[in-house]
Amino acid sequence: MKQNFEPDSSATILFEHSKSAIRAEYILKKHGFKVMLAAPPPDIRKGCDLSVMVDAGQQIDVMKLLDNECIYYIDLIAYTCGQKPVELTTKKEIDGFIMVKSGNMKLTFSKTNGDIVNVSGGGCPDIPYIAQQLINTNLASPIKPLDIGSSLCAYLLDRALSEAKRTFMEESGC
Amino acid sequence: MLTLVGTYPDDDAGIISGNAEIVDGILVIGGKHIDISAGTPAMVAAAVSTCSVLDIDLPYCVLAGDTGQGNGSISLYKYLKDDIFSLHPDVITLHYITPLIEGMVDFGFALEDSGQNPKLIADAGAMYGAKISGLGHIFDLFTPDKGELAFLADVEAVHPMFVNENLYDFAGDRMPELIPNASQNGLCPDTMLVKGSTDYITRSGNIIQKVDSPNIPAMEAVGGTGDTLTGIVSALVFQEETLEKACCMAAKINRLAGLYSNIKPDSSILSLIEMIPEALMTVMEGLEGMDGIEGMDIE
Repeated sequence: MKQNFEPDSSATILFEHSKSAIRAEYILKKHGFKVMLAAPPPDIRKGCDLSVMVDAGQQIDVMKLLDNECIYYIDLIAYTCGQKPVELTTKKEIDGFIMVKSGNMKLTFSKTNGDIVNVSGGGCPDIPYIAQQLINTNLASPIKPLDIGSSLCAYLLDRALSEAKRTFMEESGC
Repeated sequence: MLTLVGTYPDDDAGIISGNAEIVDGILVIGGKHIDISAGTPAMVAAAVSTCSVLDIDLPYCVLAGDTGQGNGSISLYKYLKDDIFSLHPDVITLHYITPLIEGMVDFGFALEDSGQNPKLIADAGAMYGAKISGLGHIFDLFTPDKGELAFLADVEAVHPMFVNENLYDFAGDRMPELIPNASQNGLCPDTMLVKGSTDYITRSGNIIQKVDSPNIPAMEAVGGTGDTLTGIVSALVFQEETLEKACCMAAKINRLAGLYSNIKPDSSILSLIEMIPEALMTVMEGLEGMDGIEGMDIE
């Protein structure tokens, strides 16, 4: 479900590493908070780093939870122009295989048995490493890109894998 | 000298450097053996293969291991700042690396301080870093795919993950609409090779060439097919082809290599790389008559 924030009622949490932001999003969602990954404000970006937007009214509870979970954050600021992550995923069948695209990442699996046969796209250094771990495994495998990598490309690949699993279950009637 | 810079999937963040060669299907650089898989190794292997057939100097490579922790990328940025211009490179291709604004800006200053004017090519993380640093204009060539073109066209986006979905959610035939957007925002080089079902060669926001055959849909699924394109075009630019001709030839060679290797969605990139010499010879000899390249003047 899409999470929309009113610009004037949101706060942004900044992290040293994108991995911490992704972990924070997971924990906060698990505890029922309204939360969204977003790009940090332009004047404080180091590169393609990540921040987390939360409802301004919940920021104290959010900070308490992150402290309890030992998720280190740099700062929490009022911020009004965060860019939302791409949520679009698309699918394409090629020669008996299904390619799932999420942003710039593509994951291809066998329609017959769910074997992951290829990963393409992306530009962050963890992607070739994650691809090596994923290719020749099966969609039923517990391996997840975000357990291995922490880049934004890894986040998109994780989303492509989730969509691939859902698609394979639908196609195979599970 | 053609200098190729990027990370490869390994925990050792130390720099390895030297001329690259392919021995029994393995990349060998400075005594280090590296599997040829998607990413920088595929780009390097394609450049080695192309240079070998053209009988020109093999590429000098500067690689560092990085599995996402960023240490290898930081080693490379330091090399780009302190050492690369002592090599007096003719062409520098930057590839997989964590996009860091500070590192890319330091590279820009080092280039200026060197007084040198090498041809600069960027793909993958280096292209993302160049764009978000506002330094795309110092490069001579970017090689984005469709999704990356949307990222380049969106001034605000800091990564392909954060792109206005109105730009992302577009059919392939709308590509010509995005190309001027990407070009006019000043964050990209004048020339781009936009790879996809049709490869577009663009200059100043205008499409100047298209390459669309042979059309092999499976190539999009195989990891590394964009990397090989970057490697081939780097070698051709090093051979002093014009950017436009190098892009057209590279697009055609990459497609033919895919065709000759009978590439399928479950193929490895190595199978395509092994066919680059044959594809290159075909294009060089004009046996295909350069079909599928609109207005291509191979002379």
